[in-house]
Amino acid sequence: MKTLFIGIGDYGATNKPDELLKTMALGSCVGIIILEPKSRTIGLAHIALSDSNINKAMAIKQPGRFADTAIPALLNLMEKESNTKSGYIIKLAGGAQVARMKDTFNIGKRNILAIKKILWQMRLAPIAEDLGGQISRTVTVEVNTGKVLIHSPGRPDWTI
Amino acid sequence: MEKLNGMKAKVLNAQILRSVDALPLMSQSASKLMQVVANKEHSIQDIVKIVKYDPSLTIKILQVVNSAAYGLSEPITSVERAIPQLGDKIVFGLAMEECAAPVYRDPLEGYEGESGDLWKHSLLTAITARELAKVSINNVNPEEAYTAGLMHDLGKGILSQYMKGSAPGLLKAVESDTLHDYRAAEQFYYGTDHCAVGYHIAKHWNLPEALCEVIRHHHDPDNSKDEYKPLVYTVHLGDIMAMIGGAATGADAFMYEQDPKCEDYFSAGETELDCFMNEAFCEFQKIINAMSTE
Repeated sequence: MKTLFIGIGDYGATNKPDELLKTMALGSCVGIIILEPKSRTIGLAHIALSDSNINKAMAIKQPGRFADTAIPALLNLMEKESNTKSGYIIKLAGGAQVARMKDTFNIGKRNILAIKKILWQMRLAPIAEDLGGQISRTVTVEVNTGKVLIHSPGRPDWTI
Repeated sequence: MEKLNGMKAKVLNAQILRSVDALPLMSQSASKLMQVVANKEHSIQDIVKIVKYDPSLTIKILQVVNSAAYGLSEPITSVERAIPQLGDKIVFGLAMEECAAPVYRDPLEGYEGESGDLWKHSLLTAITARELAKVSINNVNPEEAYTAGLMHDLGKGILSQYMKGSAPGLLKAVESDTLHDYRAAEQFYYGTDHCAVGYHIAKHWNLPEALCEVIRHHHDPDNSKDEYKPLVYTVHLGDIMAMIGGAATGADAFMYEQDPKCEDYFSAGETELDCFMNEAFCEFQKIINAMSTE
């Protein structure tokens, strides 16, 4: 199967049934997965940080990097690829932290809060999530089945 | 998973020390570059003077600078032009690669990490530690923080060879709160840990005391000598920021604690931290791309 790798700050979508979408080692970053069941289109973004105000120029060049620019960009792409604006299924994974982490350094927590707030403002909500905790996550999505598989070293794989 | 008994632990420790002694010594170029880079006042010419007499390092530098990631229109054929393009940190990293290759090259099987994971984690730790040094309230030298970040996890490369198949057991021990972090699990089951093994390597290479302290105490910075605490805390936090940045070394990712005193050592707020983490991610990706296309 062909695998489309989504790097840090990138996003992509496909409806080719023989493809996989994959993003590696989500630490504090959050992967947002959007599935459109009718056209079987899958989108994935690897969001690194919460707010594009810290670097507007970079947000234009690479909107997938920040929560507030990645979500609209991914939704636009989904609309193009699936020819519909509604019926999206959303799943989230990532946003990890270490134990006893102070809020100043907790980028994962900031990412989760920003993404949920943006989705809420757009009247969207995830139906499944695997967020926070002390886990590094690699996410693979099968376009054919819509299965979202999570891998973390030292643990058996699981799905959301 | 069973704990090693006293005798088995002693035998294992002796084996690990033999593995450390068998490591190549640090090359003259790497040793000289480390001293030069640590000096804030150094010039590019100081670096050139060391590199140009080392043919294998010269070849590596020219390969990297002419890789697709740097996108040069004309190839560079001299170290005098290559070094300003790459920057002294990358040059030093390439020099270290030679003696440290046995430590960084192999997959970290004991941690279920892949080939290159330790190097990537070390690199992102180095970059974030350098940035954190700039917001340290104790005047930490950013270049020294970079070097210390690059070396802090040396012990994992050796210890990993003796821990194959152990990751699920160690993870379970930490996740069930039996042991407070992955290092404690290494200690409990093997009678040593990656910090202690790294410290032996640092001594084997005659690294300066500051680097030895970082390697030994980057997970318990409060136990380091007072004079080195600001540097050790900088790398302690850089290590964590590298993990949350997605560059971890396998099953032990996130299985450590942030020292509660961390905040006392840095003046950065949330926005400033997000800004420099963003820059750090970009610099990291650029170097990774350069190395993978060399």
